[in-house]
Amino acid sequence: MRNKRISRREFLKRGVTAAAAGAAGRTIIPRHVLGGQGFQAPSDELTKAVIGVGGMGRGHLRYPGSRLLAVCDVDERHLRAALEVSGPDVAGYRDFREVLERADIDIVHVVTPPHWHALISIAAAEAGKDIWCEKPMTRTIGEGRRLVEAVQRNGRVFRINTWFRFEDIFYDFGTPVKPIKKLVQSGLLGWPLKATISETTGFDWKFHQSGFTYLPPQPIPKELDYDMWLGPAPYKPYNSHRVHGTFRGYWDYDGGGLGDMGMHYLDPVQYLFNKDKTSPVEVEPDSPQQHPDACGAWRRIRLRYADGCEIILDGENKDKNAPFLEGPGGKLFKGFISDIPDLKEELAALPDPEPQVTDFAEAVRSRRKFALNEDNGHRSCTLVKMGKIALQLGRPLRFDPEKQVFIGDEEANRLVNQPMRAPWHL
Amino acid sequence: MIRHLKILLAIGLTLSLAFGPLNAADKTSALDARVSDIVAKFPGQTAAAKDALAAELIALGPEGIMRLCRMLVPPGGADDSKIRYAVNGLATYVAPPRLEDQRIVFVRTLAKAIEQEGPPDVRAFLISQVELCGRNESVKPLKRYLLDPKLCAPATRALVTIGTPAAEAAILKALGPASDANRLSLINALGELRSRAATKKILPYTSSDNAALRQAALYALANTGDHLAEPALDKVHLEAGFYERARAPSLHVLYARRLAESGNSAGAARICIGIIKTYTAAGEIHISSAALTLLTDIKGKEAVEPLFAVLGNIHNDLRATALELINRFEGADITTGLAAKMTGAPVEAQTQIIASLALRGDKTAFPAVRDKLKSDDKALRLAAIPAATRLGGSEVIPDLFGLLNSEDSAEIAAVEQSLLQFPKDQIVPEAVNTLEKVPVAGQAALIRIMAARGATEDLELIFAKAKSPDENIRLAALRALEPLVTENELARLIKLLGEPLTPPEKVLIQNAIVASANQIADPESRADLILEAMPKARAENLADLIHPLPEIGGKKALEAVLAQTRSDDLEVQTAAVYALSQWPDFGAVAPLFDICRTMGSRKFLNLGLQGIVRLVEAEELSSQEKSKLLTEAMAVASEPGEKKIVLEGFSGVKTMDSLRLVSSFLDDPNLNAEAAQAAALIALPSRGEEDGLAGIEVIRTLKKAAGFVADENFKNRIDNYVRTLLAREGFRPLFNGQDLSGWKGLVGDPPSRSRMSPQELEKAQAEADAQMISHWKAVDGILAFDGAGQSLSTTRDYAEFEMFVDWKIEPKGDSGIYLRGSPQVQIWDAAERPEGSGGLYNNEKGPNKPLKQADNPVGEWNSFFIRMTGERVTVYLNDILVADDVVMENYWERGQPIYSSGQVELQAHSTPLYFREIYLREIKP
Repeated sequence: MRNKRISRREFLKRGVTAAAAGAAGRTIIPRHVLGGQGFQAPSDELTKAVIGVGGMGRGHLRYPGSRLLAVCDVDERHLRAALEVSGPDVAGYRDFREVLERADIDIVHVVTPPHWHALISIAAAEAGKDIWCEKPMTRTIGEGRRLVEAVQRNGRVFRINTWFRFEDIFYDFGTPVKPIKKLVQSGLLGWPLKATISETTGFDWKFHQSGFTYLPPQPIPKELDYDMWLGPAPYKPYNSHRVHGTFRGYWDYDGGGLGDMGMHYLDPVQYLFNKDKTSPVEVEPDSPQQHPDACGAWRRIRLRYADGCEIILDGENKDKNAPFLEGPGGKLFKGFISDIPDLKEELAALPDPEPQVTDFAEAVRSRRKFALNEDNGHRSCTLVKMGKIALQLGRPLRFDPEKQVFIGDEEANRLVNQPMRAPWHL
Repeated sequence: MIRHLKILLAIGLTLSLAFGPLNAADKTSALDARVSDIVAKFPGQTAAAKDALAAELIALGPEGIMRLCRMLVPPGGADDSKIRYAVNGLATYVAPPRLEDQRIVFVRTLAKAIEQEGPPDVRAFLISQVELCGRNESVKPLKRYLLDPKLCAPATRALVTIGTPAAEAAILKALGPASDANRLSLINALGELRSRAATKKILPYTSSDNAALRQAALYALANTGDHLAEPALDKVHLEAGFYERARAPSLHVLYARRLAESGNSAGAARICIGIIKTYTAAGEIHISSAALTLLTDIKGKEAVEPLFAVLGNIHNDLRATALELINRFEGADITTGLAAKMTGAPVEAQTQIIASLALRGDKTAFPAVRDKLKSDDKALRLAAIPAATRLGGSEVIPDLFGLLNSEDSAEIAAVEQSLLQFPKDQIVPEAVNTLEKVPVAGQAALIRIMAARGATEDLELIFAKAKSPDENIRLAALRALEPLVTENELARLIKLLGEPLTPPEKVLIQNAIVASANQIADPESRADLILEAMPKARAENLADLIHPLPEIGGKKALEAVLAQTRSDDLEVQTAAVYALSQWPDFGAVAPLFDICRTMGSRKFLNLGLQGIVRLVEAEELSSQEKSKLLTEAMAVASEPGEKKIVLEGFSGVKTMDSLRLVSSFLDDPNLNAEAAQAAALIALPSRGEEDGLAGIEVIRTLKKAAGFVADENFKNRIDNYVRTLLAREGFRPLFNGQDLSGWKGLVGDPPSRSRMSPQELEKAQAEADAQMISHWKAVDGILAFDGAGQSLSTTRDYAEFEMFVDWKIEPKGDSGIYLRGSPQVQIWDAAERPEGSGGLYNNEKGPNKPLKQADNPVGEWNSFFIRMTGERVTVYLNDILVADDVVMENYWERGQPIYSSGQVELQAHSTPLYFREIYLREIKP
């Protein structure tokens, strides 16, 4: 494993060099003069580091398009397991900041639990890295906004690890999203539209991701740096159910099945509704009371946009006949079945939706915005977070899409911008 | 008369003593009872229910709310989930303005409750509720915790959230007296609040030796934009880590941004320009980007000229930022200027500008971009194709068709994608025209375009191309059939399937057959033409015709497929069985069972079971019906692979019967992993905590199943669900995983202890406890014994109870669980003692051996469930009954019945031992 610091001698040596190079007058010494660890000229091959190498992270090790140079985890066992399946030139780290020091790493994959996504991604952007971040993008709306700023101001390329708006079969709906976009674009369904996301329309809300309300403290395993695992989250006694495969059950880190699958299901709907630059104005929950620590199942969440478009998250799958999309002009059911006559012929004649940038390595090389980027990703993640906040408070809320704050509800806004545990801050 | 009066007085006195005015203790317990009543109804199942419960609690006033808070216990004690639901329910209830009075009462009471010394977790939880609904009135009560080591962090967060000047002042005041650890929270908080008042106090920490404090201070100062901060931000600590030095410029930009926000644009611009001039190398461009962005925020449209200049920079990421920023400003003049920048620029810069012009959407750029379609440089053409399409609309169509002469696959793909941006009438006629005039790659693209645009009028052309000598064109044409064919082409397609074809070609035609047949209105007639063709078909062709039938369906098709399952030709037979296993409706289940039972083939049995399980899962049946069918399927399965298929089917049936059936396979080494997986999926909640199975039997089964689950995370979920169930059943941990609380050393035995004086007992106990600590230790959640020393005993006695205990020994290990201070439920190495563990070894008259050997191999964990009521003991070892309601004889005093109560002991027998997950619940008789 690499040394945490350059030796003092090295430092002073470099400091003297800097002065000799005439960078005096401003003592913040630019990296190209200082050198820095492993500083190299840019080459054709992109390189990556994966931060967070638990179950999901180990999948990222094999993503094509870039060469793996480093892995990082706060759990020694995960780190060792990842190093075992990686090549000899892959280094292991326990602190993500050391990974960001390396000038030879182009892309950082952020595969930690969601409460860390914003901090690491912002730090990566401020270190000049491009970012491939797991969903949900961030835990709170406030974090999301700061991440968008950091990515854009630093001119970085950012993508989220969901992809259904541009490829793959859209879960049990049974077709890709592209023909659905075509249908929406055609106007045949009319406007406004209502989308229903439920088992009937092809989507499982994974309520087994709920947390336990009774968590006796357990001894912290010696291979886990629990303080670092918690990071910005409030300190609560360790119990194995809080971490690793089951962290989704706790509001401090994520938001149950809604947090897990929300972006996968909702980002394509946002794309279908052409709402990438805005947010709903209203969210209405129907749920048993939520526990302050553990996420539980819920019955229904309704999101409504200013123009009347609605998204219904039907967790209890009450409506067994629900179409996936419904408008004044017609309905679209799971499997692309519709009540619009001769739909197939009508649609075939119409133009395709606009092409999207779908090759991340290429986007990084040419510095283009990826199909699912910090902007639209933040907005689709906001759908998830509006749902979470409504559930936690147990009441309907109104939202201002421009200012990105709740209207007339102080408590809701306190869940938009939650302070972090020191030393971490946005 | 007076005598009567005396009696009356005496009676009166007696009565008033017995039932006098309620004293304070009575009042409290009455209030507790009312609070408990309300709490028991949490969580509210609807918002209205929750609000009603919260209103009831509020109506009890501050005393009631205080009693509620006092019921909280730290994690690991009793289960106080309902209390937490109630407190949090109140915090969210008092939010609206009309309940402001109640909110004040609530937060005041919270403040009082936090003030009572208590476990830090509980106080931190209460502070977190203040964070949710407290306002300026909560600042004063929270202040004092800023100096508390455990509560500073939550209190600081609550104050930051409240965010009033008083909150800021409180944090600032605490900075001086705070410890280093707390100082970190406080400085961070002041930074988040952008506290100018704090600048002077924070400044010294920017040169602290403590890196965390130093970084916090620098961030805090940068975030305030206070000019006093600038000298500190300028200095880089030579001792600082690389990360800190690399972050310094970001802080500088942050500082500049705050300067601009407070009106000092000139100062901010100065810093930005300085940064852009200094940070010029690859790997640092992001800093210049940040400065450039801020500069544009400050200068607005004035920044456009300098941004144009940046387009000549060698770094593509800086150019990309400049282009992003330029596109903030509309106007044809800017568009023209941007297009002009392509002249003489390197190819990479030109491609960026082309993409940017497309995003701009201003048509005045169309001619310049269209020009690039004719460039000699492929990269420019590739960039121009989508851009020109976006800008020019249908005007660009002829150019696109012209580009189909290319031999380059990337270019063809780009053109194809662009042409598909247009409707059918604008491209299909020209596509038909151009088809013969372009090379192969272009032809395949045109065929794909015709398919995508539903060119059904040109189906003949497609059929002709399906016979092309070129494989690419042939496959493109065959692929185009599925979206284009109607029911009228079905006969033709069936005939085509009979010709010599490669496997991929067959698949494409079969897809087209399915698409064609499914357009026939009457579902029962859809397969007719195929069924007619089947009798005349040769073996291979017959198999090919069978293949699409599941996707078409119908009763006649099902019968035909069934008939073919008896074909003499193996290929045909296999195709038929496979088709049956894929059948879409439940009608196939009975025939599938038939095949499983009557045909000897293992392969067919596999296919059959897969089909049955799939159909049972999908059908709307009751759990009992599903269970019945799956049990029948299990009876048919004999190989492990086959049983695994059925086990998976059971995972969706969340009943005790289903659980019992799958767990019967936990002892089969070939199946225990799958059985464990299924058992866990059956028992664990799939919807919050609503639908999990519960009860002692479930706990025993899950404990056993967990041992066979390889996936750590899943095992973790199971273990934690078991602990939740135990808590719900009223079991309490005897061992807390951390230390020996609740345990004491062993002194003598029940008779000898009863003969000792209190002083002798005390002395002996102290010695035993001292010895205990040397040999029994809590390690990683396990209670470990080193092999030397005495038995371990609970501090308390128990009478009627149930307990769970996991144990592990090493080879030749020996131990036991003593109940009511008496031996014992035996533990030993089954390799040495083949009857195994779990018997009441010390019985002489009654059973003293286990009913069967149920031990796991030495070195693995085992699980006991023990019930003792009256004189009788029942023992399960690894979920197998080994002692069935057996009278436990009194070893110490033979002839006497076993004692009615006593301590539980873990027997030391000079070998290392390991125990964990020790839980006990007392049973009231």
